Amino acid sequence: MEARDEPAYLSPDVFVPALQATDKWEAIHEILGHFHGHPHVKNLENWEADVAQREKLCPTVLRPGIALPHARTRAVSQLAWALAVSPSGIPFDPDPSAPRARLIILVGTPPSRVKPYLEFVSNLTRWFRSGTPALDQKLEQNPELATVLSELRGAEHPALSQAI
Amino acid sequence: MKTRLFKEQGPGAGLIGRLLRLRFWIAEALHLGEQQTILVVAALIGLLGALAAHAFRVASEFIHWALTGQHTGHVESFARLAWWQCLLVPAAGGLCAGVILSLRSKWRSPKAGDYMEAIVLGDGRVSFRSSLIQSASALFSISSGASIGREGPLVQLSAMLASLFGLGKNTPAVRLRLYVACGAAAGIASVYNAPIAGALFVSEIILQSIAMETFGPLVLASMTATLTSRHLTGNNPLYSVALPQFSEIGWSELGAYAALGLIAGVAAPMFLRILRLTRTGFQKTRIPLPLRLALGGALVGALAILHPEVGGNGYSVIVSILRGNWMVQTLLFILLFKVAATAISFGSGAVGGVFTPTLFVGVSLGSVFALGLQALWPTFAAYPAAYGLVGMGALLSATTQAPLMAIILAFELSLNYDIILPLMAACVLAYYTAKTFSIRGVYASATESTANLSYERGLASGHVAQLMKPNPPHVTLVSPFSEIVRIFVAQRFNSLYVLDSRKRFCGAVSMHDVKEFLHAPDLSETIIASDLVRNDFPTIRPDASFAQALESFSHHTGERLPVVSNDEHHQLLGSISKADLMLALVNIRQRRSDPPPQPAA
Repeated sequence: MEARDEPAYLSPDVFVPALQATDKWEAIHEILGHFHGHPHVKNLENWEADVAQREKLCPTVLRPGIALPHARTRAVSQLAWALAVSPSGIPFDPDPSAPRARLIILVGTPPSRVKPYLEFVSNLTRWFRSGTPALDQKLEQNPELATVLSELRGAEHPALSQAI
Repeated sequence: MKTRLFKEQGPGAGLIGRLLRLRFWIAEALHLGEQQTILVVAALIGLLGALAAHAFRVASEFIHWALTGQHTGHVESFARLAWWQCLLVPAAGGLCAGVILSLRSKWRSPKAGDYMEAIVLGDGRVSFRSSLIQSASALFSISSGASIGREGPLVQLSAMLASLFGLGKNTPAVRLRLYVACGAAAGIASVYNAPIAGALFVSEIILQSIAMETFGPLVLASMTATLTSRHLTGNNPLYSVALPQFSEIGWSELGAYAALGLIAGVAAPMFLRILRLTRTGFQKTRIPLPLRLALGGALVGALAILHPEVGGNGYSVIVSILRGNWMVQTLLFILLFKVAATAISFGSGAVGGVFTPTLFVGVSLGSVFALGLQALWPTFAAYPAAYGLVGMGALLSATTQAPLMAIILAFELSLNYDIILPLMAACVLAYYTAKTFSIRGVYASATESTANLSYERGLASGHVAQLMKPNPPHVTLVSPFSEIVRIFVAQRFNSLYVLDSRKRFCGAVSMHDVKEFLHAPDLSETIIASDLVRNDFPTIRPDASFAQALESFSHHTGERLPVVSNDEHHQLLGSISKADLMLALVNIRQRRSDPPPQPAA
């Protein structure tokens, strides 16, 4: 399967507007729970184990307030990802004084698809940095996400891109 | 206050990114791998070899001036010196050479003292001290007029530099041997201004193979050495001879050239036997080495009182003979005296080559033969210089047992293509004629030595561990993307090995996967090696045979394979390159095709 084009990066397979979890292992488990029956997911337990193993190797804090738990795993047939918002924040960073993650992006990709994976992560990071019309649309559809992003970026919605 | 969540890319990031991508695209498009690296190193070795040869030449001329007060060649100097000076100068030079040479026994080194031994039997390590001692000793012998060639110490120096250059790069033995061979080829090429013969000398005489795995680097080293040498000393053939077209020389004389080949084939074993007998004779005298060399020098000086032409390597006399106007009697005397002087210098233990003296004897032999023919049939052999050149090639072919190199060298020395057909006939006949006398070539003792067979025996049994290069570039599972990029930019490998915290091999990151993201700061800390590693990367065990290694490479597109321990720990021990494996296989093949050593002539 070819890598998705850019608009597709703005459409997570799963969107969790309000996570209940209080630590990262619960958060990963809770997010993955939303993938039940997803056509790209072959084995949820294995995916969770692989994400956890990767998380143990090195924390996946993308930036203060954002976590990117991810893994290359045979448990998915294609790249699959979820966007979750935690109103209270989750301590992804081992440093207790570090800001809690309020936005969690969970990604799984088949082991053979390294390039699409890197492209996805690179585009995702850029997506948060420079706005696009598609982002604006996405934020209109998901007020929770818009609020969290605004807070994280210190910007007012909908002019996130101009604030950076 | 607004918080910046993401780093901005620097102003030059786009340009740097494009340059990085261009660098990797070029590397992939040109397939710059191990073999190409060998070629580049070979070219550098050629440059080094030529510079070493030039430095030796300058030093030799300086010492000659210091000993004789003359800026001329050896023959002219001997002609101008008083008789007692003719005795004293080579004796003093021999004494100095002997004193220096006796230091060799005090500073013994486990490395090969001779470059041929290092290439053929050793592990490619040429002793630095031994080479310097030999070269310094040769400087005094040659500068004071010993009848011996400069090519020996020059090639030794060049090979030693190549060995040092390779050692600095942590090179496996099989490749180090090739680098030393490149040094030797560069030495010959720069001495004789003969790039093809330089490469062929090593291929035919030392490696005894013209496999492209080795011949390509040898050619490049020879070419660079010749270019450098020509830049330093000028671009003229060593022995420029004006000859008519071969059609004017006449097909009818082809038989005469063939006869010259037969004579050279008979003369070669005699010449070599005289050299070896003289050496044995000197050794039996049990005179200490410095005094033995001084005695040898004095004897050559005594011959030079009568015929100054016997002094030195004989270059100017060869040129003079090829230009003609020599009486047959004079030539005959000079031929005999030169053989005696070379035997004395060689026999007394002077360090140097017998290559140029062989050319001298060959050209004299050919010219005497031509003048003899003229005396019998005045219309025959109108161009004795042509016979001189052919005689030179034929005797060289027979003494070195390398006819191809001899043909090419004689051609390159004169750059006269018209001589090539009679040259080919005479060289091949001389080779086969000499062979019927069960001749051991002039370099046979070096290549048949059994003093240092340990590496060679090991190579024959052929295990991956022997070719393994330790400590290949690697990262750990948690190394950030920025570090991976840094190593890929600094190294030219296509795969970067990944180890876990216990140094166990986990797989490799492929440059192909990451090359499009080399300047993506977004990934620098987000992605770690664990996110990129390919766990199915093939490995090989240190005790795997060369055949197994070859089999593994046949299923692997990369140029290297990681070598991991046999136990369950699967630890990364090193890496083996396809280029080194191919070189080792070429070495084994040529050893197996060698005929058994012939009894001494």
